[in-house]
Amino acid sequence: MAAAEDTIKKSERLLWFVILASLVIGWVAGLFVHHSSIADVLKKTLPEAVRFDSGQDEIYTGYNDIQGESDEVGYVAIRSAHGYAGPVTVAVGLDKNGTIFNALIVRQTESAAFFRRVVDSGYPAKFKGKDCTDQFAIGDDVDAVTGATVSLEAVSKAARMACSDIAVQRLGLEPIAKKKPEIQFGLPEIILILLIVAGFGASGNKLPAKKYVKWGVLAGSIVFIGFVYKWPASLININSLLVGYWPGWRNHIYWYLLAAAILLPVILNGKTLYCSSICPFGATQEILVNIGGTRRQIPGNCLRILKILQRSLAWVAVMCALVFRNPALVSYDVSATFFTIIGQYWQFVLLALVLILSLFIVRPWCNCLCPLRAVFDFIRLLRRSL
Amino acid sequence: MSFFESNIFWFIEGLFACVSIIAFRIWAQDKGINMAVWKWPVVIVWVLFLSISIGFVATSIGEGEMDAAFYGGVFGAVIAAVSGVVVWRLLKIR
Amino acid sequence: MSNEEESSKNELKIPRRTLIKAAGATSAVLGLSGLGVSGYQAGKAPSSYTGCESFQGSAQSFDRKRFAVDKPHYEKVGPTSRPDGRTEVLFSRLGVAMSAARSDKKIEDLDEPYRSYYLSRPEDFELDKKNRELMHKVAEDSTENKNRYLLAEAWADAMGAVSPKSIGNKPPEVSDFPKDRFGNPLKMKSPEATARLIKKVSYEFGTVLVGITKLNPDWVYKYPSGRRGFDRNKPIEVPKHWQYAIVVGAPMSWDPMYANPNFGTSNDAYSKSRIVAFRLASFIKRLGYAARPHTPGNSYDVMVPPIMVDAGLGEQGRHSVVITPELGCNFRPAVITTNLPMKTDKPISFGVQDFCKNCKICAEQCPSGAITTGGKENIRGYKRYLLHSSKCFNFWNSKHGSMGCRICIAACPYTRKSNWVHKTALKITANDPTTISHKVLTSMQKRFYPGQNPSDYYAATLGGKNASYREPPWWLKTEDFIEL
Repeated sequence: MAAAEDTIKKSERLLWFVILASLVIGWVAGLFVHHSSIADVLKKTLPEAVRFDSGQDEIYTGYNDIQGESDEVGYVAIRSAHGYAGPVTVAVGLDKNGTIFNALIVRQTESAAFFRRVVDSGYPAKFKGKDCTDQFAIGDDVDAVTGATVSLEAVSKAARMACSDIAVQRLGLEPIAKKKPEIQFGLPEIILILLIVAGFGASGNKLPAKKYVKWGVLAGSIVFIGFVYKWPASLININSLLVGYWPGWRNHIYWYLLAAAILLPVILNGKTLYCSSICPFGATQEILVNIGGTRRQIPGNCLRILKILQRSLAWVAVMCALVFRNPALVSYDVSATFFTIIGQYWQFVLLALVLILSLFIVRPWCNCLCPLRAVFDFIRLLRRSL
Repeated sequence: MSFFESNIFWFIEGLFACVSIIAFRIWAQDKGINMAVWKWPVVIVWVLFLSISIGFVATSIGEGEMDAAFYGGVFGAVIAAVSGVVVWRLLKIR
Repeated sequence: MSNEEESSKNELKIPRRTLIKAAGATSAVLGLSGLGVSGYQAGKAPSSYTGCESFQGSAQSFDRKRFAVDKPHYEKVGPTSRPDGRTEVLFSRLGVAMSAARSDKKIEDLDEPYRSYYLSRPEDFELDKKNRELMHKVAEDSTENKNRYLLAEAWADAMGAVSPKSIGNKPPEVSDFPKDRFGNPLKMKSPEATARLIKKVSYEFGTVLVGITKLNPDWVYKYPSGRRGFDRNKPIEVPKHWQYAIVVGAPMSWDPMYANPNFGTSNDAYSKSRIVAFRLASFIKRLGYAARPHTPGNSYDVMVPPIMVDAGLGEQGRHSVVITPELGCNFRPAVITTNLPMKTDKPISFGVQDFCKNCKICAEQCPSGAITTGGKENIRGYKRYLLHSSKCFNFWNSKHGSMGCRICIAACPYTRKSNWVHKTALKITANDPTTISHKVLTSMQKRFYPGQNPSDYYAATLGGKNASYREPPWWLKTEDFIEL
């Protein structure tokens, strides 16, 4: 008996060691992955300039050499702001009057379908012709893009920073009174905290009202975390943490709360409290299976294959994020598709399948495909072995 | 394809509907469902929704609007499945 | 049958068998009478007039009586003025700007009225001058790219090959009236009968929609835009015989229209509108009355969209095109001004103003940003959405194919083919006072019928991808018919 347990422990130890090692290798490999050159970006942002200087604080001056004399044509600044998965880097080219000549995305690692929405709505191309002192405020001089607010805010913020930095450092304009970095703590953060506390609290105790609290939290989660704020937890959060894209805490308290909610219970207690108490997509599946009335089981050997699939896919997603430093590169999370109704064609098909299956099977997404569940399983494996 | 735009086509569709309704009643009896008066509108509305979804997907493909056909199909399928299960459980009452 | 069953059956007010027999009898009667009505309609059906189906006016199928209102939707918000056809019509001022670009003139060097016009709008001067440079840039695109549009351009040019002659340069008091040999104005029995007659012959002449209204003199140009019998430098005194306005017109062919801006054209609708207008003017003159066609191709003395609104053909949308219930924006109108007394039509209201407030799809798709996403402005005393014509025209010269862009027309949710899906959507938005359906249907439009990335519409040499709103129809795909 003891020998059998020992073998299991040994193989488990080998497994997590191999997985951890691969993640480290992935992270290291990511250091060497080449990203596109600056020179192309500069040329596209300010085509009138024949050459650029080597730049100071990522602000480059463009020159036009006419008859041996160097004429300053304009300036290009490259700035980043944190979007949903990581930094969105924007290059803005200003002419000497402070009018934007062109604005381009240098790099972004947002989810493909969401960022395509931003681009298809004309951003940042629509910034052409704006003045460097403009607000770049959504709802004001920037039209909102439904469902892709976080990505669009990053684009706008990066463009605003690029413009104001050029305005102050090169055009000699007065800096717009810089507000002290505000702490963004409003209704979304409060509601999230309430849901987390109520959800975690209700799961442990034997309160008589436990059932109502539990369902209230799940319903509240679907409404708020899902449809209103459109920001459930996903593998992208984990990938961002691993890759090192940690946003400034003042503006992203929500993000840190979510990360804590998914990771802390598993690491400290081995319990997947987020899944059972809070996750809005899990809640949706629970509601569907109650509508369906039956609770069929997936046959055992099928389940085993699906579990291997679930974990391998998650591993591939995490590795790609590490190697390419792109947390959203491999993103097959259909919960975002459900709450924002934005996604690629195959995500919709997969979502439809999951929702229909949820009528008859308990939490098919959670048990068979959710990458977060695979991460939790891995953490529990670590806990068992250490 | 002008047969499917003709009057005869709709007449035959009407015949199909009548036969389906009669057969449905017998099948429901076999499944132990007593078709009370209120259950008929529920089933008919669901069948109408299904029909409109199929029609919408087909018309969109005919128009050449593939995105409309895709999203109409996906949304229609999910709504038909979920509401179909609800209808089934309602039918099973009493 | 036992006594109990019999008595329980007698307790029912109406026994079931009787009920079914009654229902059957009613169905039989209704069914047979239905056949009667249906048969009668089959005899009269427009579809039985092979080759002349449209002459019965069946395309104008919307129930305008139900949606008629007393006042048109545009609000008068201040003292009104009439437009200057020499400067405010882009095609009239374009030549001045382009020659200024060639000779490097400044605004101060221009002649009046262009000098004053551009002094108050220096940005438009730069935009109008830029058209030369844009045209050259487009011409630099690769031969491979340009070849894609060979068939579409051949078709568009063919559609423009047939056109009525211009009305000439005599003053309207001469050219609007019939020649002497046709006699004096015939005495018409009643304005109602005349209106019915004019509408029917308009359909016979080839129009798809027709409406009649009194001409509001605010819609007449203050200074003329072309050579149609007026002195360019004197303000137009609205002739007394310009009392009524008849609007006629035709849609552009649907599939090429959806493939704008590169594969579509305005020529197919324009040539049909012109032909209808000239036929109708000739007919009215034969009755002894004055008639003057104002036709597309910049041969107008009046602004057509507000006349269309007055005549109850539709409502003006955010993009300044008038949206009709049957054709959406896909309608290119012509106007006949006349003194023939006719019963006029009332304007209609079917939900467009509420819809456009929220929708903005045309503004989002417009590659040049000429359509506003903001609210209505006071333009010459009336409130409407402002279209920035200089920005719009810049894009006309930033793409391939027949002149004009027309993306806003193709992208508008109202511009849909006439099948049950879109007819139902129109019925819902026209009858919903809460505007909830407008918002829901707009979101559905954006998802189910998406447009392209607006920057992609530009020619490849201007940073775009030569994109079109939709793929061209099979018969305009050059690569399938011509060895390239």
